Amino acid sequence: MENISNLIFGLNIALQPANLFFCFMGVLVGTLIGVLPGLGPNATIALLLPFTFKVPPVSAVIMLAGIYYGAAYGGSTTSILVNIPGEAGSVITCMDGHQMALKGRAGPALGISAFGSFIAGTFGIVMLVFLAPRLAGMALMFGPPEFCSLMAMSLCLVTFLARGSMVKALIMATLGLLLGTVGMDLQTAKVRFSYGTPYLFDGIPLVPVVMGLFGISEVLKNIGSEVRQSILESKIKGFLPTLQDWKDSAFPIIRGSLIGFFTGLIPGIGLATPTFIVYGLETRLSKHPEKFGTGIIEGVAAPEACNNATASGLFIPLLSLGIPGSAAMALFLGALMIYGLEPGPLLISNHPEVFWGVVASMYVGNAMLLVLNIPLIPLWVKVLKIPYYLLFPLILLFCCVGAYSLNNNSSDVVVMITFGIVGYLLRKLKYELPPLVLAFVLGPLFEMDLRRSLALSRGSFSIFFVRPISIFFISIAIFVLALPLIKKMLEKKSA
Amino acid sequence: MKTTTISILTLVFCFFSILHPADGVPQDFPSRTIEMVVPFKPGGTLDIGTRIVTDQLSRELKSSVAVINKPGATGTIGSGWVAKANADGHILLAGTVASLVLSNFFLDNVPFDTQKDFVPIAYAAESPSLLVVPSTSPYKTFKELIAYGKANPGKLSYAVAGGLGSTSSMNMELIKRRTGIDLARIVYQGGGPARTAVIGGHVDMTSAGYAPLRAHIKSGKLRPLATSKKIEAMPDVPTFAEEGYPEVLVVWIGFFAPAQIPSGPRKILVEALERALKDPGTIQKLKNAGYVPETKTPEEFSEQIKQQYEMISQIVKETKIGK
Repeated sequence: MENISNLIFGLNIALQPANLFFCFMGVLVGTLIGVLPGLGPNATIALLLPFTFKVPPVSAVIMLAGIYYGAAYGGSTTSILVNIPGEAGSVITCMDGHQMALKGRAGPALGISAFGSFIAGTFGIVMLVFLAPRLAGMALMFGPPEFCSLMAMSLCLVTFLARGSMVKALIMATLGLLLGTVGMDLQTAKVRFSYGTPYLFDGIPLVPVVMGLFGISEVLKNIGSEVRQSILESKIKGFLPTLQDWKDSAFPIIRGSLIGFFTGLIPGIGLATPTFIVYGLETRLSKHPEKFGTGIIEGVAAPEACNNATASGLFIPLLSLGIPGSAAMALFLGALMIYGLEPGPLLISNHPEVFWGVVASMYVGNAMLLVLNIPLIPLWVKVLKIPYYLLFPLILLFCCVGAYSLNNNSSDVVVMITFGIVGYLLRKLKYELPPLVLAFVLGPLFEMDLRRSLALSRGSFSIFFVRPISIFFISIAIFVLALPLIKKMLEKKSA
Repeated sequence: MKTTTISILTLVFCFFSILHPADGVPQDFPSRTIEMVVPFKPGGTLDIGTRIVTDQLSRELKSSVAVINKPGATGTIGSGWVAKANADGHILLAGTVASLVLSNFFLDNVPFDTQKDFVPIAYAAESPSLLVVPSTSPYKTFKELIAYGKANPGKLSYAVAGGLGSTSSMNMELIKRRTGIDLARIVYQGGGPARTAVIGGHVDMTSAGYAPLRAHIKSGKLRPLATSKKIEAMPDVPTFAEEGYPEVLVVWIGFFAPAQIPSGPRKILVEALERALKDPGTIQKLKNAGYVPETKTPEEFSEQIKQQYEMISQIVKETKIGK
């Protein structure tokens, strides 16, 4: 098949010593950046861009791509170890990952996260190689009504994230929706809730909020707490996942990869939303849903596979259509343009060495990351043994630096700290944070696409019900909402 | 013992903090890294052009020039920061029509006045604005599109990036008002999503700069119907002026310094940028990225900004856009 020969051609390029070196540098830097909470691949890629002008374009893109998915791998490490998400896509990993670490099972958690990411990444690349052009076409089929229905469906999944009181979860979701309304309403150019501050024109930024709610609040929660000391004494049970772990994680990894990859094709979906969807799905499909959140391996395997698959999926619209699906992809697009390479259908025909070289190097990079990460697991687990009074100030430092590095704006740090305090209070009062984050992310997207759809249809709601993809998502949403009722009716019948 | 250590360390730190690199002295300009602030996210049109030029600028000045991104509020946060920054010439601003001209009209609480707080030091390039439709669209010429729009009100839609403060939005508004057709306004949060929507055929048209559109036009996914300035690669695309609508905005990118910059550094910067913009490698890179390199003297640049201000005020008065 011609694609296989192209892949071999690409491997030839990717395996040249110079490119191997760049790939390695990229994944190494990326992993380090991902491990440090807050510091994201976007800032790093932007910083390294000028440096890459001096090297040939293929090598430059290989390195930048390495940074990008290295960060995806690294982000899960802090989530599992210290309950602080390294980036938005790792928020869900905190939930079960950290619980596993508290039980002394940090090693298996890290291990399954690395393996799951590798499998998902490989899957993504295989799909890229064989289906890139056709898949890219799929991404274009998503217009405002499709997005709106997808968001509506995702919002319905909020209820799956509630572990304790449903009312409290709904309160959190409503709070998230309210916070999401801050910012300029693009359609009318009127700014909401900014109280005159230009900073809030674009809304409250997501990453500082997530870092504050989960990261800073975690640090605050642990001040003076006795719980941690018990971890220092508990024995670390093994460093790698057991056979039972593999059995449990097999399907979650497969489902995570599939859903992650296909949602990654949709431009603008981001890395966080697919992980929420996958987690919600796993709780419903599992035979022991009540165990989610207490530290089971499926709760780590699925989201981690998902965010890697999404990261690969985002490359497809970029490389084959020239459409960036996220901020990092926009950076790539800019970089490609500066090198004189035009992403899009012409990239494959005009510069095949770039396209196939990069795709092949993604595979090489994934393999490198696996090899890099597995031996480091015992080292990471030892991090848990560092006394708190040393560990947490360091974490605070990295969070502050990371938040500032997002936009070179100190207001982001202020937002992070504010939400850290808010998150601490909410946790003390036993409110759950994931529904808040989900609603905060999805609410504005849902509203914007709803209004765009209505603008297109000149006010008619029928636009949602005549387009097949939209109907699909709406049906799932209705089904999900009706599920408890159906369950109840079935139980009554059998009683 | 401990107190002695601390006091010694404190003294040492105080000593080091007094040693300062001399700044603000014209003959030693530039005495440290120059910061070029781009008030948008990395990877955007202004960002790419700035990076290309500053790469050459650092060679001309024999000093490092760093690009710092400070995005937010359509470029007003970053621009406002530079307006209040140290004006010794080491902090500069990359600007474009949206952040420096339109923002003063359409956004509230903008922390600067372009004509008072900044002086232009270089005019780098222009990005012609094009009107494009998806390749699946039945309209082959601008006239056909307008004719259909007039005959069928309520059928066509257009995509814009960002609110009224963006150039694509402004240009579409101008076209809409001058032609009088009823178009549905579909707003997206950035140029990327807006273009994607048009490529996918969900929206009928959009107006955007040549830089981001070039790849899509070449690959055949988008069809250009009109442009604000003739593009050598596409000679048969008519200009808006030829079609009878001359008011479409010229989208430029340029570099500015805070108004209080001393004349010594300013002269050095103006000359260095002039040389950088004449460099054939830089010109080629700008062309590759979709710009039309064009130079004006700082005086001509100020004059052009003034004219654009007047034109927009006129239009806002006449048509009451945004109020």
